[in-house]
Amino acid sequence: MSIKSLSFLLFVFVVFCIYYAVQKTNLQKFVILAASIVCMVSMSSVAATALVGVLALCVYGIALRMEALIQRNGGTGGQKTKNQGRGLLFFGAFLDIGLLLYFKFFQNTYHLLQDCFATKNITLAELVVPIGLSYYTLALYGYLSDIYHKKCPAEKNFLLFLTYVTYFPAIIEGPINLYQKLAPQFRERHSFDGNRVVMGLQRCLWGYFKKVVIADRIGILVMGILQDDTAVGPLLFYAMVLYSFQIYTDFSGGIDVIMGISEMLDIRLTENFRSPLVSGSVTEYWARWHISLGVFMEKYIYYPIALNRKVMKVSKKIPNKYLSKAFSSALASFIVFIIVGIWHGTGWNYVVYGLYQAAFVAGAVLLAPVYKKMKSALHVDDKTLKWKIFTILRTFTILVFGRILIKSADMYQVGELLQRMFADANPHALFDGTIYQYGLDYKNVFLLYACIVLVIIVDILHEKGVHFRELLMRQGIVFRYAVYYAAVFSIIVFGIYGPEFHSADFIYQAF
Amino acid sequence: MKKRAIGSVKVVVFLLGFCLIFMQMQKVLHYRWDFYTYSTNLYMKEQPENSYDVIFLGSSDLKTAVYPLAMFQTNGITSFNCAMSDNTSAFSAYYLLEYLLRYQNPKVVCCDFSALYDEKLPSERETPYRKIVETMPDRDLKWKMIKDIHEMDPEQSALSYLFPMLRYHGIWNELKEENFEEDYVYHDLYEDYNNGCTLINGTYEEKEPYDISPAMWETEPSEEPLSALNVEWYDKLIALCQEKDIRVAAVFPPSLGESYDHAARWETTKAYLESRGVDMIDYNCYDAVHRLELNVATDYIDDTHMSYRGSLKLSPDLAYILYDRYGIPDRRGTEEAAQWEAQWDAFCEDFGIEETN
Repeated sequence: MSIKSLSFLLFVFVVFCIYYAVQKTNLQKFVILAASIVCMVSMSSVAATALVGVLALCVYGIALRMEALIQRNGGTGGQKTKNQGRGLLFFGAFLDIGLLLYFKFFQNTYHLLQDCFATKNITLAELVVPIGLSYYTLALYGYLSDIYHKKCPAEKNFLLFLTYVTYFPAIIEGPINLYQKLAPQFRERHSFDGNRVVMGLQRCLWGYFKKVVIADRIGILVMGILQDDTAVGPLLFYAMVLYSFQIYTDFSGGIDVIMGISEMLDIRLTENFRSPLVSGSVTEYWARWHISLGVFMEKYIYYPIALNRKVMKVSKKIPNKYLSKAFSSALASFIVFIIVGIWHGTGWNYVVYGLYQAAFVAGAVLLAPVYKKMKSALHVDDKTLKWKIFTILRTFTILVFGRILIKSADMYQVGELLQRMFADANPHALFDGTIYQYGLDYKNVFLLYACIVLVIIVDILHEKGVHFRELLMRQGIVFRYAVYYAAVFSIIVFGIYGPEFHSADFIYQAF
Repeated sequence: MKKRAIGSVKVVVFLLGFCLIFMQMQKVLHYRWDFYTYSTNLYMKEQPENSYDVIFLGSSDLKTAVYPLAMFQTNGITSFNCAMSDNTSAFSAYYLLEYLLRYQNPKVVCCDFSALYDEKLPSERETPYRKIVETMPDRDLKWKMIKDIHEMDPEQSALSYLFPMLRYHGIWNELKEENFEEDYVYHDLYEDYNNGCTLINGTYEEKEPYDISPAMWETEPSEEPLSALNVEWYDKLIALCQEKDIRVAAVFPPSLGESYDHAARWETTKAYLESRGVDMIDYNCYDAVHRLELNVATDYIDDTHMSYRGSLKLSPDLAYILYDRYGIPDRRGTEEAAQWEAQWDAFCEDFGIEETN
């Protein structure tokens, strides 16, 4: 069951109906739990879902035990209690993050094992990765850490805890939800509110438009160009620029659908994107892109490292005053981004991707005084629109090159792609019709450009405080319906779904 | 309560509007099949019962090879050529026949069994399946077909058959004037004389015309298996005919481009047909081609499709065989004959034919 499938839409509709049918009872959380289990089973497998259930049970038990240890000594705790608590935290992290690392790194080893056993006519069961593993494993670690640091109480109700872990919209693509923000909402009763449901539907429509019309359309062109071994120079750069838009519209589109569904159910999730296209620096980009991952990294990795006593001790040894202050921040950034890189995928190219991002983020911190002097020397006014546009384009270009690392299978392919990209500087291929050979004709490419411009405009307006959904809700019903119909039929007509239509396959010569 | 009622009305109005717009858009955004496909079904539905003693089913090879009016001229056999272009699907042949038998009661069904060796699923070759479903006027039969297709090949979404716009939405960037017109209506097309046959006034232009020789059928027998998928549906077609006491004949048109394959598969084909009690009339062999004095240059337009000249040679011969084997009544001199004669005259006039067979 894919998020784009009609069966998923039907599933959400059924959940929605049952959810509000029981709104006067305390059963809504169980409806969510049941829906989440059904969703997990259909998107991965029964075994994978059971594994997640076992993980949740372990973390639930560990959290309760940790809290009991903390409370036993009146919250102060002796050293033994503290060590036991820390031990439990590490054990929980080992189980939790270990499962994530296992599926990320050892799948290939398992496949090799399968091949080995196959030669002896022994079939090992297929390893099905539980859906959403990358999201709730981090969320569970955050939960354990918060219990350990007494930032929130441990959840006593296992079913409620399981609902938090498996909350079905979020397991698909995130966001990573902190326990304190999401779980309490499952205790509340949520009444039907027509306006809220309509707002949620609007967001879903926008999400599907981005995913099905834009992202999947870009995907055809990008794949076509990257698979062409003769494509060089600006054509490749063009493909990577498009890929940047693809990844944004695909990811943010999916998140919009998830947020829209949650809004319909009156569940508020952490926003995951805040107009990243208008970022003026890589640091700003990561504050606007995949925000929930950034918040998690900041809270559980960055600050623990940056404020670590041993790190501070090393910082103080640095003679330069500014660097001494910036060192811990820069080190923490490096470690965070290496983890971010690995979180995105296995392989050295992902590690390099993390280092690439870290270099800019940490570099911005370490070189801040140098940049300030340069701007002063060049009389740059960083409040002007020209400078803002420059920084946005600069940041976008940096990120485009970064995406080469995650688009490639390995470092060899990265090198090959870069080599081909700089092999030719002639942009003729972008204007002589070559791009229409890669699966999209000129009408589709034109539509694509129009959609990308629309996304940029929406992001810019959103940044300026213009919220389209609220604006739309204030309009008359005829106008609103016209907009809804336009959105729905744009997705139906222009969406990339089903087998591609080629008229040649249907025309039988002259008959 | 009032708020809820207003809200419900708004939802209903929205959904109604959606359905209306969807249906209107679907009239534009769907594939336009050739007119024969639309017309055949509608035409057959409106003809008087028992208008046709023989019905032909198959692909375009048969569609160009058999001319019903020429058969009528020979010995008064009334027939209709329901073969369809690109119809390599026993499923399509079966359901087309099931539809036709609701309105006609032929004595013989002639099928070219062109899909016997084609194992392609609907997702691998959509045309014959989509064509037959989308042009089927009967809703119950349409729904039955959609369910069967989805069972055969779960990749084929039932919704995309019910609502073709979901399949053909990509046609938006190829829209022409005809997409905004109504689909073909048969009345404009069946005042003429085709009776389902594609009459092509052309000559062979594929390459240099060649002499037909026995060597074209000389090959080793092949062990290519029959298509389980299509055998299942051909068996249903045969069973349907047997149920209604209709004889089934396998008619193989002289498709020169498939002569080797046909010859190589012959033993397997023959064994299958004999086991089902199906008669065989094989024109795809040197003896038949030689007997009919077929000439590539004038009687064919390509290696598999005959011109009208070729059809005028084959059709009378076929009429004699069918008359001889099945005792099909001679309808010349009856009330309906006048229409057949008038159509024949119109055909002769248009094609400049002075003598009739």
